[in-house]
Amino acid sequence: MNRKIRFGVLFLIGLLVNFGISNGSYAADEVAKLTTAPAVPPALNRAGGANVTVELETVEKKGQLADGVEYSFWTYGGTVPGPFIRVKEGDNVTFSLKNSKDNKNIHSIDLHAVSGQGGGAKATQTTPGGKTSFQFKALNPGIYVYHCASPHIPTHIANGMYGLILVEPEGGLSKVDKEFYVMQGDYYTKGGTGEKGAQPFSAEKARAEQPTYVKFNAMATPGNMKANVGDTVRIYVGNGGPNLTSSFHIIGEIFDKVYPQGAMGSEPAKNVQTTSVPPGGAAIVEFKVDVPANYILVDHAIFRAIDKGAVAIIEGAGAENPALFKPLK
Amino acid sequence: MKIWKWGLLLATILIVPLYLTFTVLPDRVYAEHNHESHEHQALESSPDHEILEPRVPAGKMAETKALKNIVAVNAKTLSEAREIFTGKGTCYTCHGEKGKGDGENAGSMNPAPRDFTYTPWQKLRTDGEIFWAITNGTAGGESGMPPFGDMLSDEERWTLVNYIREFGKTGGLANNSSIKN
Repeated sequence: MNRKIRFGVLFLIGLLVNFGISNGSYAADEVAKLTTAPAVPPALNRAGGANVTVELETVEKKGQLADGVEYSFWTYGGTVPGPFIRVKEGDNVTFSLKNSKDNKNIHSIDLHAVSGQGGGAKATQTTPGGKTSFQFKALNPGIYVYHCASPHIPTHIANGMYGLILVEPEGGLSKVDKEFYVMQGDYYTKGGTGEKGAQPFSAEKARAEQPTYVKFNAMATPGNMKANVGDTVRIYVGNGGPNLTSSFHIIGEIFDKVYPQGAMGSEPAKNVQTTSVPPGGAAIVEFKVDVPANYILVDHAIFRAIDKGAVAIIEGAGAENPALFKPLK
Repeated sequence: MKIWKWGLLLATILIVPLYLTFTVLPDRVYAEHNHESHEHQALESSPDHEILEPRVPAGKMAETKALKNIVAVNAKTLSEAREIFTGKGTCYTCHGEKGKGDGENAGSMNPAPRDFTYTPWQKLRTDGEIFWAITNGTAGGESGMPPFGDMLSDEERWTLVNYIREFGKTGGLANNSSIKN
């Protein structure tokens, strides 16, 4: 009899464990899925408290700031902005930084999502060919900037070393149809705006805060973002700077919701036309695509958009809705 | 004890400290102070006052100056040093391959990277001070040089000190292309 009771207890424990796993409450070990802008990793359909591994590699790499304008970017993962990292509140993150052996410079990372010395910067000063690691607990939900913090820090940031990390709140975020990752940065070249050829970094212009280019996703996946009429769109908007505060606006759209400064636990602002995103800061904007259009993302300090490149496009496709908008002939 | 013995003992107790106070000790103190003040005067009168300013905090100076280099200077160690200087140490990106402080990142740094070929600096600063700067960085490691204490081993940092010394010598090995990586 006792044997049967024991068997029954073990069977019940087994059932409970399995239920726990299938219910998504199990704190799994996982490797964070990273994406290149404008893509965002899928929502985390699980509870917080997982042991998550994140590994980034710093890569110094040539790219284009504009047609025929070559620039030596310093990057995370070979892209600017760096990969989007998505973890959950309560996760225990083991973070590793590799510095490509082909790089010339020391690199590191300061994640604004980290409570600890330098946001990880002290633990990750990494020589070319080296690798460093540290662990942190994701305490505060929000959208946070990460950036390089090796001397000379402003130069590392000016050359493109920044990205975003999202710490999802315990209950997750509301479901939307599309999520995009957009990050602004200002660039300083020896030559003037549009001057062709390889353009070295100008420390003088950077100190004077006179950029030659202002870019969204300066070195990311090419092509426009796409959405459909009826879609709810969420954009994680970051600003790497190093100097300019963005007046982020979408031409032809009104933000239904904005979480200014990425303040995720706060009530969102509603019906917003333009939102400020400071260097080293981020915001979350949401809107519904009501009619088909090319929605143009700009820094509404408009010289930066028209003359210096701070433009991106979301293609909104679908049926016209003349009740909401129609050209008159 | 007789009175004269008490007098002798008292005289000894008083005279010896007085003698030391007014003769031997002042000379020693003066000698030390004189050495420091000579250095100070040389610094103050130099047009490169800021360049020659010590990087090591005053409270750490004595122990830093007492540090002894643990790496011998020879072609092999200098060759290894060059590999670090122009490789994982990333020194050349600011100090330049010839140590003149003119590397491609030099324009961004504050203070400007050290010109190792500047002989007044080479004469003024000890191996220990150079080792300290490599270990702890300068200007808090934010706008200046990063601290390499956690990135390079003691031996690697000492061998870099030797390499940096070569920049101060006419025809020094660091400037000699015959040293191969």
